[in-house]
Amino acid sequence: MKRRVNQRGPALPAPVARDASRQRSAGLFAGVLATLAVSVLAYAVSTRVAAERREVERLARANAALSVELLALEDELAVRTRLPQLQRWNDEVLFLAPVAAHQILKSPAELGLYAAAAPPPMAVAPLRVAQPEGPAAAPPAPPAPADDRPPAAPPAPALVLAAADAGSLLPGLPESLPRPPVPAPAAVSKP
Amino acid sequence: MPRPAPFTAGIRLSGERETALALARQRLAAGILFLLGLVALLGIRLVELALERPPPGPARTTASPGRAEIVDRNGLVLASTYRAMALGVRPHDVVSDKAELARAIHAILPERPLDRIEAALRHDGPFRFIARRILPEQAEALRRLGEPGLVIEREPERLYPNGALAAHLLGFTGIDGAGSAGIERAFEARLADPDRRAEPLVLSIDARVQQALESELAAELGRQRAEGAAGVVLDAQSSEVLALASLPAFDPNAPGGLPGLPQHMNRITLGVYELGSTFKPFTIAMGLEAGTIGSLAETYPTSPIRVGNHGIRDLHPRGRPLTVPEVLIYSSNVATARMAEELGPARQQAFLRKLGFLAPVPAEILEKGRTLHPARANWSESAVMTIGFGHGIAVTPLHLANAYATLVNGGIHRPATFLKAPEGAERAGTRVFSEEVSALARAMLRAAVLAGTGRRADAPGYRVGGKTGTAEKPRPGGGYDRSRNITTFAGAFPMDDPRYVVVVMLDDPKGDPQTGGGRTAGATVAPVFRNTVLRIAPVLGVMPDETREPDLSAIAGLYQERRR
Repeated sequence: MKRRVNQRGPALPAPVARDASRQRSAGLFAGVLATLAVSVLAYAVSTRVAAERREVERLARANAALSVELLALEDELAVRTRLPQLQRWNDEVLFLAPVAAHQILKSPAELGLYAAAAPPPMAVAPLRVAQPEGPAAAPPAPPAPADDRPPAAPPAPALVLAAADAGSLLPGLPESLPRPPVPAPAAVSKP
Repeated sequence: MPRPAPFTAGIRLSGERETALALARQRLAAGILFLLGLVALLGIRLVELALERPPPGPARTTASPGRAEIVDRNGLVLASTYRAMALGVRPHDVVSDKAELARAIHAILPERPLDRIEAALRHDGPFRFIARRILPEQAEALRRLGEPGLVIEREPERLYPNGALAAHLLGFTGIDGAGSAGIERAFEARLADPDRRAEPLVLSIDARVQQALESELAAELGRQRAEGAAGVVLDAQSSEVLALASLPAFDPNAPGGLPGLPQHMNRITLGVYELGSTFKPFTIAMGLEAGTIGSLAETYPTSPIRVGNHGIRDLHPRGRPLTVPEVLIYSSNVATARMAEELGPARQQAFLRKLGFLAPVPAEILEKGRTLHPARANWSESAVMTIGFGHGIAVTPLHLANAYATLVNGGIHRPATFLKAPEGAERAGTRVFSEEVSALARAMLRAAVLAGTGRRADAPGYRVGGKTGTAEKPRPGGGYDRSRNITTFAGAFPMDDPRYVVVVMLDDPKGDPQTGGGRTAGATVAPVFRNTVLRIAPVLGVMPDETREPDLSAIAGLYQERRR
C-alpha cells in the first residue's frame, strides 16, 4: 500500500511519515494507558467497596457481640436490683415506710398551716451567726496575781457563735399561733 | 490391468465446494448465535443479581435469645433468657484417670456430688451432662484441666431475676427449655415463636404490687405459723390481675424436682376453698337485685335454725332481729341463710353462674381448679342456705376477687386476665347487678369495715371496704376440723370509686400471741389487707384522704355507728 502510494504521488518527506506513525503509536499507547487507568480505577473501586463491606461486617459483628454483652449486663443488673433484695435492704437497713395519709397535703394553704404549726427543725434550732467579739465582751480576766508581773494582754478578738431566737425572725406570724419552744442557746466552747 | 479406482474422496466439484462452504458458514453463524445467546443470558442474570435486594444478613447480627422475655405491665423483666454454660462429657474420649478427674471436677463444682460426677464420667454412651448452669470462672477452670473428653456447651437458659417473685404465675421451664408451668406453659407457642421472639410478652402484673403483697403475706405467715397464704390484687374495673401470691413459694430458677411439689401448688387459681362469710355480700346483693329483699330496713331473725340435719347458728349471736346492713356487719349466718332461702335455688344458681363461680376461672394459665358445688339436681334447700353464707361451695381466691370486682364496680362481670389490657380500651363484660345494688353493696362493705368484723383492715385515708371470712378446714375423713381455720379478707378501695380489689387468705393460722392470739379473719388477715393497701395504694396512684368518706346515707340509721 505504502509503496504504491509512494510510487504514484510525490513522496512525503520522511519526518512527516515518521510523525504519522508516531501519532498512530501514540494513539495506541494512549488507548492502552486509558484502558489500564480505567481497569486500575475499577479495581481500586472494587477493592474499596470490598474493604468497606468488610468494615461494615466487622462493625455488625462487634455490634452483635456488644448487644450480647449488654443483655448479660442487663440480666446482671436485674438480678442485683431484684425486688426481694430491695425489700431485704429496706427491712434491715433503710426502714422506709409507705407515705401516710396525713403526710400528703392538698393545697398551699394546708402547707402554710403545717409550717406554722410545726416549724421545721432548722427554725427550732437556735440560729447561729458568726460575729467578731470585741475585748469588751471578753470573759473577765482572772484576778491579778499578787506579784508584779505585767497584766496579761487582753485576749485577741475571736470568732464566737452567738445564738439568736428563731421566733424573733418570724415577725409576720400572728400571736395566736403556737410559738416553737426556744431552747437555751447551746454552750459554745472554745479550745 | 485393472485401472486403479479413481481417488474421489478429496475431490470436490466446484458446485459442491460452494455448498460445503455455505453449510460451514451457516454452522458458524449458528454457533456464534448460540454463544451470543449464552453471553446475553449471563448478562441478564448479572443485571438481575445487581438489581435484586441483597439477601438478609446472617442471624448473628441480632442477639435475640431463644425465647421471648416476659415483662410486667411497666416493662420490668420477669423472665429472660441468657447464654449459660453447661459441662458435659464424652466418656469414650476421656484420657486421664476417671476417679482423679472426678475429684478435680468436684473441687471446681463443689455443689455437685462426687459420685454423680464419677457416674457421668463412667457412663456408657456418647455424651452425658455433668452440670448445667455453671459460672464462667468455673468453666474457665474446667477448660484448664485440659481434658479432651470434657465439653463446655453454651446453651440458652431461662433466668427469673426476681427469684420467687410471682413464681406460681410465671411458672418455669424444664430441662428441654419448654414451659412446665404457669405462663411459661400456657404461652409456650407464643414465647418460642421465632417471629415474635424479639417482642416481650406483657403481663398485667405490677412487680411492685406483687412484692408488697408477697412480703406482707410472708410476714404474717411467719407470725401466725400458718400452713400457707395466698393473695390477689385485681383491677376492679378491667379485672386485670396486678399481683398473685401463693406461699410457700419456690424459686423458678431452681424449681426442684418435678412439677407437682406442694410448693408448686398455685393456691390462687388451683386451690379451692370454702371461703365462708366473704360470700355474704353476694347473697345480700342477689336478694336486692332479685327483689326478695324489699328494703334495707327489713329485719331478719337470728335465732338458730335447723335444716335437715344441719344446725345453723351465729358465731356471735346478737339476740335480736337484724337489719340488712347489720346482717353483714355482724356476719349473721342465720339471716343470710334466710335471705338465700327466699331467693331460691334457681335464682341462686343463675347468679352464681353469672359471677363465674360454677366454672373454672377463665384466666389464661392452665393450672385452674374446678370449683366444688352441689350437682344441679342436688341443689337442695339446705344447700341453698349454706351456700348463702359461703359453706358447701368451694372456689378459688381468684373467683372471689373477680366476683368482688363485679360487686363493687357497678355490677359488670369481666373475666380476670393475666395479660395487660390495651390502654383506654374497655374490656367486654356482662351485667350481673344494677348500679344501685352495687352502690348499696359498697356502702355496706364500708360499714362492715368501720363498724364490723373488719375494723383492723381499715387503712386510714383509703376508704377501705370489705368482709372477713373464717371457715373451718374440712377434715380428710369428712366433716370439719373446728381447731383449724381458713381466714380470708376480701375487700376493695377506695370505696367511693373502687379501683382495686384485694383478697388475702391464710391457711390454718395458729394465732399471734403478740396481738392477742386470735385466729379469726379479723385478727389474722385483716391487718395483712391493711398493710398491703398502705403499701400498694401510693404506688398505684390512689391518693389517701382522711377527710373523705364514701356516701353512706343509704344505710344511715340502720346500724350502730362506731365512734372513731
